[in-house]
Amino acid sequence: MKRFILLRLFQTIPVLISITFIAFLLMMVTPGDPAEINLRAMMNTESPPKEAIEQMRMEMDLDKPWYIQYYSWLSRVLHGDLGYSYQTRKSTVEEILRAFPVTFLLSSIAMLFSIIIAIPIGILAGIHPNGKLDHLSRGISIIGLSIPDFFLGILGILIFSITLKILPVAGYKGPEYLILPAFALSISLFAVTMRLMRTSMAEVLEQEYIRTAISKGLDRGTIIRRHALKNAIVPVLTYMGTQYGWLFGGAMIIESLFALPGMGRLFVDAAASRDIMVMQACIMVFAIIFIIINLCIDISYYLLDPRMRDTHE
Amino acid sequence: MSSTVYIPISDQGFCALGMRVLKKRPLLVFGLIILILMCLMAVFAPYIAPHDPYEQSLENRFLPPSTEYPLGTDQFGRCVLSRAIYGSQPSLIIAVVSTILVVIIGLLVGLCAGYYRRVDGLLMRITDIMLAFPSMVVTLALVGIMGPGVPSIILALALPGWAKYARVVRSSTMSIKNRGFVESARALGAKNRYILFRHILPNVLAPVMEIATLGLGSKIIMIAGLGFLGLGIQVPTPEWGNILNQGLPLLYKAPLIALSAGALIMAFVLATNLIGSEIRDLMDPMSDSVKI
Amino acid sequence: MDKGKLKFILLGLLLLISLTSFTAASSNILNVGGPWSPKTTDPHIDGYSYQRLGIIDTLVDVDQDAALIPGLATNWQVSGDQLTWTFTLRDGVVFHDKTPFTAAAMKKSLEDSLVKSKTFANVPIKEIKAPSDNILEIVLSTPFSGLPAFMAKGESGALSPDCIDQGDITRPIGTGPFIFESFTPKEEIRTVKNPNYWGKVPSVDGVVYTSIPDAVTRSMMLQSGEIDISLINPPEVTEKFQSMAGFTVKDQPIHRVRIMAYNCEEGPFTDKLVRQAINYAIDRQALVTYVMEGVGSPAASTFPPEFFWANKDLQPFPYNPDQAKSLLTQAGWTDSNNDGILDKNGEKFSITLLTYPERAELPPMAEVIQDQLKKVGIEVEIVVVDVDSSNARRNKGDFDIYLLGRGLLFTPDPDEVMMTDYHSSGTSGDGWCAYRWSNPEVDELIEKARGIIDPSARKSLYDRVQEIVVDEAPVSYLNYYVNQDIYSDRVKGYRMHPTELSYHLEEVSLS
Repeated sequence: MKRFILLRLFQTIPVLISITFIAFLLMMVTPGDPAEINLRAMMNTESPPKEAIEQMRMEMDLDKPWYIQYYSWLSRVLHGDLGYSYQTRKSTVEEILRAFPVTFLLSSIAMLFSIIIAIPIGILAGIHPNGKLDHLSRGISIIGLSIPDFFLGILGILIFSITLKILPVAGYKGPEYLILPAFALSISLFAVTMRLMRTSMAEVLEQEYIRTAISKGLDRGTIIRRHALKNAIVPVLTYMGTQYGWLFGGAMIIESLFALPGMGRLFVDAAASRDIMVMQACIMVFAIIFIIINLCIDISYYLLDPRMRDTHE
Repeated sequence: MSSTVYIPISDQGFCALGMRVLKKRPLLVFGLIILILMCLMAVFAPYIAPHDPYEQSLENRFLPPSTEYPLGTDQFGRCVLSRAIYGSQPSLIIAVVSTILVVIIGLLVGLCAGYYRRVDGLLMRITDIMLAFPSMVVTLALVGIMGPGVPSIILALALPGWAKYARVVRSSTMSIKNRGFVESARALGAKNRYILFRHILPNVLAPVMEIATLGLGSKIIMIAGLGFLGLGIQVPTPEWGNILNQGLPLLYKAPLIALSAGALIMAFVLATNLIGSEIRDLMDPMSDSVKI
Repeated sequence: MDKGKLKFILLGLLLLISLTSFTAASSNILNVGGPWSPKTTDPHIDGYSYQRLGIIDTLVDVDQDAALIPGLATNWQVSGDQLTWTFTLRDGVVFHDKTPFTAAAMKKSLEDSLVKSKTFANVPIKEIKAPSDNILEIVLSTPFSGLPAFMAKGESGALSPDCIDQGDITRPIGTGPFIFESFTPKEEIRTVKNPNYWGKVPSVDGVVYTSIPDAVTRSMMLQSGEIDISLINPPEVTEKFQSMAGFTVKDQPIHRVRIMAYNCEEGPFTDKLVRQAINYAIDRQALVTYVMEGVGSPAASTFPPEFFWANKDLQPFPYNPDQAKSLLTQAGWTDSNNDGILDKNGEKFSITLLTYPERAELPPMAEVIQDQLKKVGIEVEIVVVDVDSSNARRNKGDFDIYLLGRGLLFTPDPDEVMMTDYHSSGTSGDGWCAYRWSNPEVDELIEKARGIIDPSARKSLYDRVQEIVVDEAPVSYLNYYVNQDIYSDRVKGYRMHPTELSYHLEEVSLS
């Protein structure tokens, strides 16, 4: 098992290197002198003196061939130096550290919504396939998958904040500010989870051992609780795990709409004003989150079911 | 291209299948009708729209719905309905072109990786890297650098999108490659390229079509998202996302601006979702996986 | 099974309820929402927000008619040679950290500001002296009539000596009615009341200023009670609140003008004829009537006519597209290929108009301008980016037209605007107005006016400057501002300032 984990870790190294390279490339293709951008922030002036820029270019190895530039950039990154934001003149690391917890919390709450609401509905719909609840949940999930999350967010603001006045509109001053955005963000995951849970439950209930148990006169409720639920919920939870990265990286529009100071808004603002250092850092954070999640899922697959090894070449 | 979907599924003729579809798959028919209507609307926008979507007439701002302006006018006195109709053009063009691009790239990469062992490792590593970013992140970064505009948005959507297709095509290819009919074709001396395009390609098209229809819907949402953030198609060109963005401050005064665009986005995505999930069902009626 | 399901649902509900119960209880804290966020906590670099929120005081204050009145200085006078200004400081003022406010402290604060702030770049200060505890002398190298007005600017605000010793100031310690508590970039500034304030002690316990760039979000937050005052609202928002019970919309004409600044260094607007043509191509009245819902008035020059320094002989340009077209033809721009867009030497008249969304009326105004320019054959691409980015683009020359709102009285004296906006030393650098345009006569007039104390003699020079600028058209004046703030009925005693120097929150009480 150790070997598998090590192998899997080893496999992520080229991916990681490529990601840093892509981030580096981003800086190269974007117009604007990175040395000047850094100096603007450090010296707090719009036009830093020419000599200082030259000095900085030397320090950043910007006068060398690209592979030396990349190496020097990478070693700066590994030392925690990701440059300065062109907009706020703060260090990029500071910006990321401020924004990360917000998005982390937002996507976690979104995930929680799916778990505590979609899964129970899915279970009930699966126990009574083609029942009223099943049809209702199918309808909800069709709409849920078709509505853009930001449009749902707008409707949510209109209903819950303006009309009912029970939730705040925008900004971030406490956990209650995350309810509406998390709900909007979770909608497509919510829809899929609900249907997946329903299907999984219905399938498990069709299995031979469950039927046997029922025919033996065991209480249906007990069987579902004791046996079926456990088996049915595993694929759903693993699916949701794979979706965490998407929630994390997909919060951009929602964060902008609700004025949440998270990674997504940071990234959108950076992209809109070509704030290259911040864009680089965000991209790397998004990618690393993705990689870590995939790693965890692969390892947990392996732990749960050693046969999976074969499909993972 | 759409008719080829059905052929490889079974030996049934197209007509027989069509009848079955009509009877048993009302949702598929419903989805197709919406989709076709949307496409017709985009193509024939100049004939359908009652007004020029760019024509400002400041005296006629915020008119309520009337026979002349069925959905009223916006803050510049432009016809809301005409803008919503014209708004379908950039969204559809970008979504369709970028989907075709990702399908082509995804097919090529997937077929090569699945068929030729030698390039498999390399191609799949590249695919892994592409899959390591949420697609919206890449799209935004690219649009940020290249600036908004139709070609740059198409590219920004296509570049991160193909990896998913490549994965699916590769695994289908790998399973088909070892099936009997391919083995026998090879034994009869068929060339690799012939086998790839004659035997394997038709059989991987179905799953590709399914992802592609679903992808069409999600691309519409992404395009609208870009427009909503002000990074997509720029005003005054009407596009659903930027209409939604402009309608947001006017939600009280002229709710039809935002609602018209929002409703059309939803209708389109609904159609693609229905078609996509029905195609999946048709391909594999036994599987009940994530059917919506 | 039912029990299990119930547990799930109950758990969910419990979570929802516990989360919602966080909603802020009403307290004696005033919540203000505005579009801006300062870049730094150092008022000597960026002083607007700290001055407006009453964290810092200045030597000179400004009254409702934009006249100078005593602030931390009770009076001031200039010596016979016009080179030494003597300020008498108020007694008994203490900084928020309890150190007394003295001439020595003010000297230290001003000297820090001279180093850090760009505001004083054109102020000929030679030396600052503190001969006694309450006498401050500012010695100039050349006579400069605008000096007291500069002492009203946020960047000249008094900061405690300890605070300045921090170097990079992270906690501004002033003398104002509110004490700085915390700052989160792009999010909020928190203050608490200063019970020992020398003037009116605030009635509220503290203020939370939240930065919300989007005006609609701001209005929704006002409606849901998250903020009590929403600053600077566009007409489509105020219109809704006019008739809504529980809210008041307050209008205040301010010394601010919307302008289009041209790129006079590169592109079609290097040609004076083209710039003049645009002046006729814009329907100024339509912008006010339709984009601003009638709030404001068409502009003739940089200063609004009710302002002393305005050249009242100047009239707003009439809307005359034919005149515009003939001027453009004269400049060599014709539609030779009949595509509806002018061209010259095979190049299309296609330009970029840059603006920012923090002033919510600017993007829609840009769209109307786009339409109006299209009618004379000019194709406009609109670029809307946040205010910092758009200003950075402007400073790089990456634009053809920059549409913006220009404040005129941050320093309640015309000299600052004249120097930074029209004098060649200002137009060649970073800024907000004429871009890379210069005129020797204008330079000379502005320099001459600086040494003249007599207002009417000074004014005649500025009148001439305004005339030249309007004729040369490095910028087009569109319309003058009326600020519209909205507040809920919880707020009593709120007033707006015509020069936007203060929110006067110390006068506000909450019911």
